[in-house]
Amino acid sequence: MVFSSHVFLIYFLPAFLLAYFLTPSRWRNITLLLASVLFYSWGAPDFILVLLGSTVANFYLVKAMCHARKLGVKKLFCALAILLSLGLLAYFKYANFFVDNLNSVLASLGLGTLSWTKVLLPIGISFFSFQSVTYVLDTYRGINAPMRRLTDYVVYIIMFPQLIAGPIVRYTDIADQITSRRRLRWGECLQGFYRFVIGLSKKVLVADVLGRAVDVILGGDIASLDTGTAWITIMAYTMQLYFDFSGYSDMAIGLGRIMGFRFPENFNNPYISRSITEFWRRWHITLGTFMRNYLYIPLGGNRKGRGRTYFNLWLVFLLSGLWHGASWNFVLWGAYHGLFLVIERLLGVGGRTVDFRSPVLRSLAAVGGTLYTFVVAMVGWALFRIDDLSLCWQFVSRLFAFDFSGFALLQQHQFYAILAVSLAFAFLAAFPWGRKLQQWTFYTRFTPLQHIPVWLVAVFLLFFALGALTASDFSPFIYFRF
Amino acid sequence: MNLKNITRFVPSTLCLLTVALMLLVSLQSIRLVVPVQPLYGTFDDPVKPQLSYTDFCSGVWQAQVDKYLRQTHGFREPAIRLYNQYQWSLFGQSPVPQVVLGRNQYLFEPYVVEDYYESRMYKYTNSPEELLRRFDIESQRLAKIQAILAQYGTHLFVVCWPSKDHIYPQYLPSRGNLTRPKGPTAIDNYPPLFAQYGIPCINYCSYIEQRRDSLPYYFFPQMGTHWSTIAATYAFDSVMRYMRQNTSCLIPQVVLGNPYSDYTRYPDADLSQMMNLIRLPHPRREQYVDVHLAPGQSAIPRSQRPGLIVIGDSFFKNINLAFPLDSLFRYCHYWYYNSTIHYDSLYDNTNQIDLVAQLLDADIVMLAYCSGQLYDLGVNTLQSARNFTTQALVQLCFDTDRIQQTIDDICSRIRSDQSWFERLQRKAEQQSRTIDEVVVDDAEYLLFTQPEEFFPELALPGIPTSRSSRIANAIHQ
Repeated sequence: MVFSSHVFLIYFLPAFLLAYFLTPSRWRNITLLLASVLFYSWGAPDFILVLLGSTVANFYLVKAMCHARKLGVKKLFCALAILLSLGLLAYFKYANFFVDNLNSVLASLGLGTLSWTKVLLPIGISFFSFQSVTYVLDTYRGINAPMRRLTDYVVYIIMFPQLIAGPIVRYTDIADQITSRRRLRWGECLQGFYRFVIGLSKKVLVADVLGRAVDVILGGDIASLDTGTAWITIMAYTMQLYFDFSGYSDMAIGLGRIMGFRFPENFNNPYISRSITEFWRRWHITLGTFMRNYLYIPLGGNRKGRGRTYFNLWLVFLLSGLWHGASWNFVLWGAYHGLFLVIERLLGVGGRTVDFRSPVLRSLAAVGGTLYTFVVAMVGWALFRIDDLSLCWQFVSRLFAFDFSGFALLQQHQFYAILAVSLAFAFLAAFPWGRKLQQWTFYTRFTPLQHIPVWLVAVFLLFFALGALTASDFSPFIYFRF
Repeated sequence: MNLKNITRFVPSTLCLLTVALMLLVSLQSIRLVVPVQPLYGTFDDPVKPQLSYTDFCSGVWQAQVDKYLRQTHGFREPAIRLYNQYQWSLFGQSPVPQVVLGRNQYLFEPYVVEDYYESRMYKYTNSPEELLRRFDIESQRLAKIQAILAQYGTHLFVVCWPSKDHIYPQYLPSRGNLTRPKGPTAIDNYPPLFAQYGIPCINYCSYIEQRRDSLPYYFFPQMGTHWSTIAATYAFDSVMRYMRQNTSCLIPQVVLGNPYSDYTRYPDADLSQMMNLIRLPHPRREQYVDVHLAPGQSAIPRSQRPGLIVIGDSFFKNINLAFPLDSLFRYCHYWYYNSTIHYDSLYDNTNQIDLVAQLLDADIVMLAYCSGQLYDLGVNTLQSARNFTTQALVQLCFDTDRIQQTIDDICSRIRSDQSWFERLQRKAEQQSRTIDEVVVDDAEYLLFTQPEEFFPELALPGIPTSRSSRIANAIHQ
């Protein structure tokens, strides 16, 4: 089930909210647990037992780890728990990829290929595996005590708002909220509802509109694309991805807030970044945090010399790419970003703005940095979107072909208007007044009377987004039968 | 209670109201609580998903449920209207793919735009030669049908009406993405072929195109896809004159009143209604003319009036609205291009009829298409994907036994071709049908697509000499 589906919006969400509000505080985790099991079973019924089984096993492995007195035994249980989480991820997500590539190599050597039944990918496995890892490691490091009750742990892993697409919530960030979050506060619930509606609108009214045009162009003959269309397409995809993913995160954060959770932010205006290094501090923040805390630092981070630092950085991004999908285009995408991070670090510009004395030069440098980051990110998204590498190369070469004949994206007023609006919102925070507006929208604690107009707008937007979802395939016949 | 105390309850009230509103949407989807105005247009009937273990495990059932909900949820109609209005008002674009916005708020159907820019060919083939060959074969088949029917007293003729693009090209949207090389059009090629093969044809397109600037009325409504009711009235009046002159049929005379202006009536705003907006764009007033039987004409007994079969597109609907067809003809059956029959009290689908008997019982058979639909001359009139021309020709010339024998032969051929048969087995599984049904379907499709391949007599020049014994039966009855 996804948040922007009719089943979720029309039946699941209202029924869940009603049940959740009517449940006494101490039983709310049980309501949330049952709803999450239903939510996951709807989308992937075959895998609910895998999810629950691995979660229960992990809980007891960590419990055993904490009870172990010898460090060796502790480490063993820790390794087993991590192996379980990452092993499942490796098997379900990467086994097909590995066997396909192995077979290609074997075939090219003239040897027989392995017979293999394709493994289906359980939805959300990349997210809940990483959350399990944070639980194991945060507990192992003594940052937090382990959960006492199994139900609380299962809620942490499978609670439906962040189960499928994050944010990746570190155990340490949410441990207290699971066991002892405050009673329902109506103002918070409303703020959560507003955030959910903003996310839904970003997904349905912006991302989906751009996505439809992008799919048409990239589903056609890429080799004959003109340069103008290619750039507009990749720009639209850049915006689609941002509004889709950040919209989903907003919905998750909003739903969490309705239930009394505070999930970490996942995006912070990534496209206003002035370097790729800064971009990764603003894009998918929870993944970046995970990679830094649980991979980069354990690898040695920047403590083992310059060469090792560059290697660590690049490896982390290579693996980040692979985490996004088991296919070579994602690996290349990760390597591409890692390469820019290493270059920026070599040049000493990563994350820092060159401090010119002249305000004009300062502004020019800022604009130049933002433009550079945006273009590098856009070209990178081509690798992310087009999984066939030869097609991807064709597309990237069309970007730089300087062929401006036969512009294909014509007469699409809504597409251009939405693209313009999305660009405006993506760069809004580059200006002080934009940051203020964003701050007000997301973080203002409205007074009771302020809630009334904001609520009216939110209800309208919710209904409007439902209209957009419903009208997406609305196609009546004029005189099919009269 | 002071204001502060009251405002304390605002957040909780709003929260509960939110849940209540969401539950109302759920409730409305189960049982209609708030009355809603139905949407305009015809839709595929939503299929209620049937739950099965395998479908649930594979996620198929869940996807079907979501689709079903999208098509049926309680506030679907106002939700769609709201979003459509947003697309129309804010972006000036049509919210449905069936409607294209032209200049000056003139609305068109996409096929009309394609036809004007000579790109409609690509719906059928990428080869101009292939399309021209198809036009030629169809014309030859129709000529043979026309000649056979003429021997038994049924007059067959073709009428071509202009589509909206022919009358108002100045309001068409720009060429846009229709950038492929121009292909041949049906209206440029069919009428000369009809003339060459001796099929009577009235081509209104070129006549109206010449006069379009001096017409005292709008030939097409701004917001509709079909010709205006007044244009349909004048055009059919002259078609009736043709019928009186070229057949011996007794068709009562009619009198047309003076044109008058009125608010747009159904179906003159069918395209704007199709967009399902909250507020329809305001169309200009249209002209109308009333039709009455001439004094004394009602005395002609029904049995002496001709039976008329019209095969064609929905342009005929406006004629039916304007003319008292029931008083002019013994019957007027309208075979629409989706195999349905209209204005017939006995049958509502062409698969229920005895084609030969019907064609011979009629005095006049009129094939009437607008220029944009002329490509599909006779297509789908008789069951899905089967041409009127091929099926009528085969049934007029050959006995049922021989047709059945040919179908059986093709079925055997299919069964002996392993890859073909396996493909059909997969198709049968997908459509939950028996393999026998699918094989017969394919055989019939093949036969009625290329009848000349299976009945060599049809490939010879001139009219086939063989006749179905059903003709004698039909005449005898």
